[in-house]
Amino acid sequence: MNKPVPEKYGKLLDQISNTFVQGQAKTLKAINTGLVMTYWQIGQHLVEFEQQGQANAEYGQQLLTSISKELKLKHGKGFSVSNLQRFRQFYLLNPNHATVSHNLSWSHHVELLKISNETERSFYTKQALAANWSVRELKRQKDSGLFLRLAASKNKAEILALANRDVLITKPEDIQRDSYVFEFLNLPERGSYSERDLETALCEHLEHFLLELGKGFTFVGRQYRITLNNTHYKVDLVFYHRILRCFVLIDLKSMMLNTKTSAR
Amino acid sequence: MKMYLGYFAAEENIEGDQPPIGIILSRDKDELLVEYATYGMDTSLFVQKYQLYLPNEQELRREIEATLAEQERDL
Repeated sequence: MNKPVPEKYGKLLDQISNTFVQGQAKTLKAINTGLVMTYWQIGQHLVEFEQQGQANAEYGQQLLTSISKELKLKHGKGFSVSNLQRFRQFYLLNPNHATVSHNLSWSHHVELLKISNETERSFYTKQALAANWSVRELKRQKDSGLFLRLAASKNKAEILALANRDVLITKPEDIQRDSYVFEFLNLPERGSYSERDLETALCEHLEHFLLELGKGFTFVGRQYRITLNNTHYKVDLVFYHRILRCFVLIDLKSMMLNTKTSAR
Repeated sequence: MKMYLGYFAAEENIEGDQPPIGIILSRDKDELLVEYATYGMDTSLFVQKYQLYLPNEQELRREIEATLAEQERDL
């Protein structure tokens, strides 16, 4: 092969790389749009069903529990009771589907659902969109009470400008790492335990020890992901005990501290 | 841990399951701590019925110490 002109070759590389990045961003966005719309529609199904029947709170809760039980078997973790509650609430707060923003991820929406005051919620929604806040940034701004600070101040523009300095913005890759997306697509989540050698060794050792005890422990999972209040946590080890008929959760806390292995 | 147990009780337990149990392993300076956590269960019931089937704190501590020693030898 003749050596290509370096300049042209460089251009080709850029071109391929740009096409790839754009295609990826577009696809990730499409996944997010599909996810948000699906959850909105599920919310709609739930609310419309409730409106036909008895609309009391107790009945609603029973309904969600029962649906969760059936559909978790069929479609996995995404159908937890708390997720179903969110789908329902999401629809109730945004009954017009044209007003739902597809530029926000489901994690953003869940964070926004937690705000009960409508004006406040709409404020944070607009801000998150305008300044392209990441979910973490949205949480931070909410915690800092930006809405209330603005409401109490005369110099609103200045506070807003200050609040939007050095913010964490949303990147297309955020969707790739979002547990809700894994849940929606039924993709296995990769455990991130390769870096934590000591804790991995401890988990392995405990796992063998408990299974070999022969007292009824069965293995369920390692780094088992659970979602509480829009935050994802990992439980180090999860077992089910056949005789006691209960889950046994193991949490390893800061084993690294004060050991020689943490010298780095 | 309470939070994790609450989640399992609400989302993962099915009919007939008992409340979940937690084991917290932590390290404070040179001391290894092993602690059982229960969720919505009487402590005396836990002691009477459950301890038969669960390793006790000393056993768990011994297992962890063995791994720690192994790790330090390998370094």
